[in-house]
Amino acid sequence: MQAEELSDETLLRRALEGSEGCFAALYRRHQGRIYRFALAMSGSATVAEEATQEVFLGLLNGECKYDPSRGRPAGFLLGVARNLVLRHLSRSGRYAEMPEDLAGEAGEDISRRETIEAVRQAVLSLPENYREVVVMCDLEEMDYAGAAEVLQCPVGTIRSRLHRARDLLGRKLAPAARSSRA
Amino acid sequence: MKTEHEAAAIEELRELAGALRPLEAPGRVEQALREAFRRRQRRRRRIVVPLAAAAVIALAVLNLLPRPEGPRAEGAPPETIATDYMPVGFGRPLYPGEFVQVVRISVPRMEMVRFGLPVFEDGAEGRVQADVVLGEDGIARAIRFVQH
Repeated sequence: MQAEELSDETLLRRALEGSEGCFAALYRRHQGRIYRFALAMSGSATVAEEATQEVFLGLLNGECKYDPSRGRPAGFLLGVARNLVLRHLSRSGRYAEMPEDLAGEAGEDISRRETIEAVRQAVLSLPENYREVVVMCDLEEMDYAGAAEVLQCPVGTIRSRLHRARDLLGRKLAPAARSSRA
Repeated sequence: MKTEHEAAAIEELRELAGALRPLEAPGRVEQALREAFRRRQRRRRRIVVPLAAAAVIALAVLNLLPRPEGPRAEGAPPETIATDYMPVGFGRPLYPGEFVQVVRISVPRMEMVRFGLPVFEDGAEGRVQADVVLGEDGIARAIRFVQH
């Protein structure tokens, strides 16, 4: 069986036992989501890159240990990334740099790019506890149970935070939407 | 029930999600992690190999120690009496972690005399069993005599 076909639990166990192939497969499966989560939370590609690396280094060094009783490996890894990003934000405040990857192609519709950037800035301006549910549920399309696993909180908390976060976001974006329509 | 603002936000977020979706960590992150993984493996080998060697030596020493004889149950097979292991010949010493083999052979009872063990005249003609420790090179390093 190829490493890519193995479950996260098996990949994690074999990686810690010394299989580089399983470690690489586990990384490739989860790096995208971890990177995007950290990017959307911090607004910084540098922080996102560092957080992604730190999550997997922590696994290797034994600094963060997976506990199966607390959820699946995917939630665990994203939870570690979340802690790293929150620690970073509490130390150094918020980033609002424009990631190069989001800058768009030269010929891309400018108004679309502006809209995307406005939404990104609005997400970044949300309080952290609202921002993280928006990033997980709306941007990463995780279900409420998955997000609850990452945050180690009840599903109802996710639902209510998401409701308030979207409402707040909609209010922030309303003037921009009105001016673009005008 | 979704508010007007909420519905608008969902729409806008969908757009942002689409723009973010292709983003991934740069390739250099995987490269750095793979290097860290290999360094960790090398460190582990440096720790595990001496530990394994120590374990083998400990096992060998335990095997060489005479075992205490407990009380014999009725109907149990006869007790084995064995001498301590005694060095044989002038072969090189065993390496730490060297894999040894113990083979049981039958030798003339008079062989015991070579190791300073007493042999009574009436039993001198017979044979006796012996456990011989062989190194990886097949050369005997130690011997003990066994009697049931």
